[in-house]
Amino acid sequence: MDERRPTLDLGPTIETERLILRPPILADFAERAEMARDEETMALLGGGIVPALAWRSFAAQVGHWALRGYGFFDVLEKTSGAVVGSVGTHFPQDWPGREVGWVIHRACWRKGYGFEAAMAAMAYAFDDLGWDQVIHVISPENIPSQKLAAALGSRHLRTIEKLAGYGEITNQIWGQSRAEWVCEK
Amino acid sequence: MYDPNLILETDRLILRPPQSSDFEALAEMAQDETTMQFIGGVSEPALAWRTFAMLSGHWALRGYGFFSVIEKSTGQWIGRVGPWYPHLWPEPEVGWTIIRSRWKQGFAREAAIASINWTFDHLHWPQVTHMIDPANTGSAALAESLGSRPLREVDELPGFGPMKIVVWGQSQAEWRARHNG
Repeated sequence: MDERRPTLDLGPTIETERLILRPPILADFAERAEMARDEETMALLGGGIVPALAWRSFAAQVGHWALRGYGFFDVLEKTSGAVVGSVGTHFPQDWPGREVGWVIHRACWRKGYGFEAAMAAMAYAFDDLGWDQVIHVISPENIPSQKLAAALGSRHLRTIEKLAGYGEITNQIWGQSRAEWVCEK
Repeated sequence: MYDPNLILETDRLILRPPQSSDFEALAEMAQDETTMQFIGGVSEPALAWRTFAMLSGHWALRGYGFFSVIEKSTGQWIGRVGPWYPHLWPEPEVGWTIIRSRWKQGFAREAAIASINWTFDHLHWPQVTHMIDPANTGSAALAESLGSRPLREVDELPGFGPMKIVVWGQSQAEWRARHNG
């Protein structure tokens, strides 16, 4: 099987100044697995995981696209073609709301890639998917993600003590409405 | 790439790739302790959905995966059966799970035969295997009735940690001789 070939027409490709966002393809998996096992990148996202579990998580992301019609994009750096992160629109069963989420590989932190990709995903959520509200589920200890959420124009809305599928774990819910998004623009 | 409209038809069953409308029945099965006993145990709907999304993603990534099994007489989803090969799995396998209310009616066998035929015709595997918990006598009996035999044991399923699993299986030639002859 040609791993470079898109498996199905899962969703659009979005281009920003420095990045390409597109639905995951099998050829991305090696880089995604490497990111998924990096303890520092994954520290506030449940921790690093072994490749067998990373593949299941990757397949579930692909399935999210197939089942919902939207999902997490793989984020590629234009200059290198490398997969630098996973950013997108996300609403698994019993999730506290429709989320725009982000993970950027540690090697590519502090370049503003998370913000650039998340802004594109926000526009996709509000303009293309027509969402009325976007949330971000963020660990109380994850200060960089809280800052990114604030930079997107989101606010800390509430705190939850339980997350579907993850049990009793405290998370902040950040977010904004479509009206807020439109006004900021 | 696979054809999302792919359909296999047997006497009493329709097999097709998973669709989002299958989720409710799958989530119900995921909470049934007896059905899930040898395949990782029960899970709440949020986790069952992740598993369901993974099944769907397996199709998109591999071009094959577990079929949703639909009972023709009722239109109900009654299980998932089909070719399965997540990353680092011991071997490509054809596996089966049928909801408890439909056990002992030969549905798993009927779906497995259709799945294995399709797998050999379209995926050209040299052999088919089935990963079975040593205590799962029902599945072992089905594997045996399909003509498979215990090939070896593994001490770990990647991602699930240490556990003893019997790898049942047979070659394509053996299957062809038995089922097409």
